[in-house]
Amino acid sequence: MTGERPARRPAGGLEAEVLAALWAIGRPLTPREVQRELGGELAYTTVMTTLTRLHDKGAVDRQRSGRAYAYTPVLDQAGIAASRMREMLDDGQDRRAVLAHFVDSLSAQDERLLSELLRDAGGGEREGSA
Amino acid sequence: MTRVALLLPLLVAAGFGLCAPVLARRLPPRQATWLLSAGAVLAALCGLAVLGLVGSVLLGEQPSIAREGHWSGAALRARAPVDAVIGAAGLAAAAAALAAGLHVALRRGRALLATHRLCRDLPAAADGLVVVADPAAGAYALPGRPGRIVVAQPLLAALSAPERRALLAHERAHLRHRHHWHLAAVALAAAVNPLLLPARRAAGHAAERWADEEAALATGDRRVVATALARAALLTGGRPPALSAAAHAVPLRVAALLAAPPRPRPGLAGAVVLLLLVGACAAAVATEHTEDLFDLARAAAR
Repeated sequence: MTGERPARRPAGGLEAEVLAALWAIGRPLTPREVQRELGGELAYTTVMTTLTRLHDKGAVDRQRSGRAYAYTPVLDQAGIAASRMREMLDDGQDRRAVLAHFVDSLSAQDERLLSELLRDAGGGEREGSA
Repeated sequence: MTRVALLLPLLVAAGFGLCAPVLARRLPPRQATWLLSAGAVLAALCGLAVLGLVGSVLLGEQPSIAREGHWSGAALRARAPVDAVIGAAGLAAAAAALAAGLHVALRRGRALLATHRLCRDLPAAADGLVVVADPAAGAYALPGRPGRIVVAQPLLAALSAPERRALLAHERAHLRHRHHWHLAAVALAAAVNPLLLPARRAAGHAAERWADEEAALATGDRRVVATALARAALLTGGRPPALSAAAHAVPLRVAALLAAPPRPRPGLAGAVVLLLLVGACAAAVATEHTEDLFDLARAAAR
């Protein structure tokens, strides 16, 4: 890629990234652990600030863990999101059509192709994944 | 001459539909998305216009309408560019196209209204990221003000940190560039003119590619976006197609990400714009000729 590389994290993407990391690991994480999980590219204070902001907005819970707090993502209140979303997806083609899905269905051949790609990329499964 | 002008917009729509898949594959995705959605709308409008013109001449020939409009139905019939059978077919096609367009507009409008309402009820923290337990949810952008990004927890767990960043950047791109409006526009155009159906499918692919390229910029690594896509597809790939149009697109998208970034192709884009302009000019000429026809019929009635 030539030219100036844009900022790697556009303003506003940080909270989503930190929350996604908490969800991905699935156990309470200290800011230090979150920082490590995100590849150590973010400053500790940035991670700390972001977690505090998420806590203020009610997106994460925290409890004392030694000298720091450990953070866990808050489950969607009463599963509103899950059930409403389910309804939406079951409600015919047009609703599906307005949702831009990350990926769609695969043929058996496609599956083989993509598995090979991931093997070449090093490790079919992400380390530490469930 | 008038016949050619009446036929050209329909031929242009057919040609645009035929070359739509090539545009989605060859052009830089942002350009492809815009060209496909705007072009399909223009082609659909021009096609609808000529069908309406053909039908209006047929209607104008009817004695009661001719009396009301103070023109000579006989004079109109004598100079009609197409015979009555084609006129009737044009009229029926125009009515069917309008009905189909209205139907799709209503359905799409309702669906978008539903996503906007749902967004209002979902938590807005964390840049609108909503995580759900259902693995079948996969990941998608939910249009709204502001929109939400919905991701299945098992999918997040299967991705590395850079891959999660790629996924979030991809969905954010859909919302930021309002891809749902492009897709709605091209769906409407395809409902009005089925010759444009390939453009609908192609625009869907182009919008995904656009978001992929934005994710590549955001992560600085095209390969990470490709592996995120592959992992997500393998995890959620077992379910039936959400949109038949998007099926099999993942390997193409992965291949595009593993290749160099797309280069602009002003020649190809220019040729397609020219094609569309030819259709638009023909529709304008046909409108002009039909107006002249009615003027002559009016003069004949005096």
